[in-house]
Amino acid sequence: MSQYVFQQLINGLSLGSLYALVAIGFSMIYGIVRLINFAHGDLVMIGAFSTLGFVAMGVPWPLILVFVLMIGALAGMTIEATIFRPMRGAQQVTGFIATLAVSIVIQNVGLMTLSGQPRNFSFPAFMRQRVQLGSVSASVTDLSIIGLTLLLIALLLVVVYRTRLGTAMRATADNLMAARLMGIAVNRTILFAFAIGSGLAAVAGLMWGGKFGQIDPLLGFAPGLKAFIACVIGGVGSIGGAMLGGYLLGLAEVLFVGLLPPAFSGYRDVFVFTMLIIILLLKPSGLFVRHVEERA
Amino acid sequence: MSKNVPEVTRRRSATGLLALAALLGVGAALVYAAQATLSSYVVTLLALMFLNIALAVSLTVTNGFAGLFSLGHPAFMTIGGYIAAVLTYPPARKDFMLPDLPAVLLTNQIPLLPALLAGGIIAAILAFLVGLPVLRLKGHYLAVATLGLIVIVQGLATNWSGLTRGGSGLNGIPRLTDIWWCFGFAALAIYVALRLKFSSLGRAMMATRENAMAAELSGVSTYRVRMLAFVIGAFFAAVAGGLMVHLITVVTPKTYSVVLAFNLIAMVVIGGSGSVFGAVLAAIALTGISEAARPLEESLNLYGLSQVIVALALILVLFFRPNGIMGGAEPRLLRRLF
Amino acid sequence: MLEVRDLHVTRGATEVLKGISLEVLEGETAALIGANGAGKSTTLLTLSGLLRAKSGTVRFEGASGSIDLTKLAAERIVGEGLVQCPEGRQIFHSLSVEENLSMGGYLRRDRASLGSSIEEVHALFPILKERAKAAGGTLSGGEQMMLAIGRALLARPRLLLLDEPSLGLAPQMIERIFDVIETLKKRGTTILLVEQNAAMALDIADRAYVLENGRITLSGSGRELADNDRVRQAYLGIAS
Repeated sequence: MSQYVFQQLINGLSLGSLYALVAIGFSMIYGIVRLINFAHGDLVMIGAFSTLGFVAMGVPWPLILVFVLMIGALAGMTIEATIFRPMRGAQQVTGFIATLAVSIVIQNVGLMTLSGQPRNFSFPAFMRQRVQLGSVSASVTDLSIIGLTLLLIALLLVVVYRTRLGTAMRATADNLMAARLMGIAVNRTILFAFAIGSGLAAVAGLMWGGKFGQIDPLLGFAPGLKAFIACVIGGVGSIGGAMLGGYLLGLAEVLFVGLLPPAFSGYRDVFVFTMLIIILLLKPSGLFVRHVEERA
Repeated sequence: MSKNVPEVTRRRSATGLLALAALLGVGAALVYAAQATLSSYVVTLLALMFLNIALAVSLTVTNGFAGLFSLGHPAFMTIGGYIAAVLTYPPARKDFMLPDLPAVLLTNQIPLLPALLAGGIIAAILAFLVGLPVLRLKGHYLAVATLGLIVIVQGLATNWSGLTRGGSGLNGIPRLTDIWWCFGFAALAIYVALRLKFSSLGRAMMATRENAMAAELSGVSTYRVRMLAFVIGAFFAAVAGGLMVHLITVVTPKTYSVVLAFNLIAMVVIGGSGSVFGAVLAAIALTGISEAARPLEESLNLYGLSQVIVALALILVLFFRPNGIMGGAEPRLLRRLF
Repeated sequence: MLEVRDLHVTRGATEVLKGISLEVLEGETAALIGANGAGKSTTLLTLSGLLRAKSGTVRFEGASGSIDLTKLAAERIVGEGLVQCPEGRQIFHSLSVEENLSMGGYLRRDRASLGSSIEEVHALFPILKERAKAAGGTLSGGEQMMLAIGRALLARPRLLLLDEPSLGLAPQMIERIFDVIETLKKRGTTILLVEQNAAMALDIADRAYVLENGRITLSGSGRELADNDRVRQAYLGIAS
């Protein structure tokens, strides 16, 4: 394999890992409360800036990872309990508008307190090296992003499919009324879904900063939208679908830029969204889900 | 349906028209007084407020009447803004700013009104083409698809440099718009929206919003009605975009962004989805609040404050009055006039 | 065991229950019959805490003694031992049969005895053991009903509410389900059964109530109501 193709592949996989992490949470939240959470991307921003803060305080990186996960989880739970819960039962569009409003609040509070100037963000020196793998090489950052994401996804699958609370969460997403009749405290399982999803998004923020080297308070917009697209590709509401959609989207984006003449690289987002609209039309339930849940 | 026409015509009798003319006259007098007494800065703000009113009212047609959750207004405004700007741009400056334009555009310059109409019509045609696939989606899928439209249009405006001068945008656009244009356009938008609301087409729109299946069963083509609402909204958005670039004299790919879409949605929701009067009130209130907060932002160096206030106001309305201030209705006076 | 006093419930703008009173004694099977829209499901959802009563009381001899359920959260009510098997089965389609059953025992702290309870349910419905790994949604209607009942039993109900267990099932399957209800009754489970199939419900019930337009209009033993002329005309389809 040539270095060029390998590099594109690694690049696509690491970008796809970030999309997948954000998309999984997005999908879990949709699955359980049928809410397109526009503010989900802003958890990525919160995660990135928290990381920067902990680095400044001299906290060791492994601990930063844990702290950022917790901060994301707390932020997600706070938003759910204060804003979304009281609106439960309102029309779907009302909830969507509320998440837009929350997103605007987070971004602008970010602008007010952190200023709009982009800040440099860097992983420790050893992360920025490259490793030789036979005839090809890859950056440690990209490889760590890919590895850490796989680890987190594996943990998530254990929690969701092998624990009592995880099963209760899936039961709540499946049939809220029946879950209540079985004595499941659904507000708690919903809170749990927000905690996991938001925690993952915040960790994605940590990695996002490391991959792109710069962060600003508005950075959450792109991952939020891309997460939605990843979910649409894979089928909204399914964890596996969101994961696959994220990887596919990351690879597709990198290949689009890598394979077409440089003059087209500016059209990356145009390409992505055109793809979204086409998929929504042809297969609104996602490429990997057979039954149609909802469209009109 | 045709049976209703004579009755409607009768109700809009001489007194009705007179009352409308009187309303318009009062508005014009206020604009005249404002222009005579207030600083040019404040007059420009009032002009922007009128444009916001027009935008909120046109979004009320799309989102409020037909229940289409479209965030696409900024995309159509960008299209209308660029088209109008290129058409009215002085050829002397085009040579220098946009040398790659096709020859017809490079050498010609047309007045504002046809330029606005050109932008509006092209945006309407594009809305039709985009609507063909997108309007089959509903709810938040439509919202995200139209959000994608903003990103697509921004991407095209950034990259299609021959026509748009890329990311740096166009500046030095002739200042052809003034408060009268904006006032007139807002009045037109309100008039059209209210006429529409109390027509059979408007009722069909609201029927598709309430219950698409029941509307279909009673002979309304949901798809056509939605398409009309979408295209009308796009036309008004594009013209407003054109008017605005000739007021602020610049346009860039980021001039009309997602935040604007959010603010317009906030106006429609706070006003009460489907209420033209509510949208007008909300547009005035939100423009006023943001402008009032601006000096505060500058003195405290807290940029973003006004936006936070708007978003919190929206959340409060969603909490306590989910149907908005007017709840979709119009004041009795307006109901009687239309 | 259960004593409902003057219960009023509104849904939206309409008052669905206009002050109903009923009771179920320990070990009894009680039936609540009535036409579509009479308020039967509303009654059960209110007992389970999914709907809130406007006024009235629901006394229940629960795990922590005699309590009023009207202010209690749904999960607390299940914890007290009032468990509902809802209308339309409402099993978790994407969860396996096994997981569906385990959700029935969600609140149970006695992990050890949960295993033997599952075995009891398997003995009652062997099919649930055979299809333990299958997704709930792939079961037939009758199998889903067994799963729904099994799931409710795993919550160890002191009082089991059954909402229209015969709905949408084939006649043989209805027989099966009523056989199971009979078995549960013999084992001493207290049951409140809501049915449109009045004949079968009255046949099995020790005590029965007729609900019409949000009011209890008749009550008595299952036998008495089955012999009542009005009931025979309106609900059993027998001309007197």
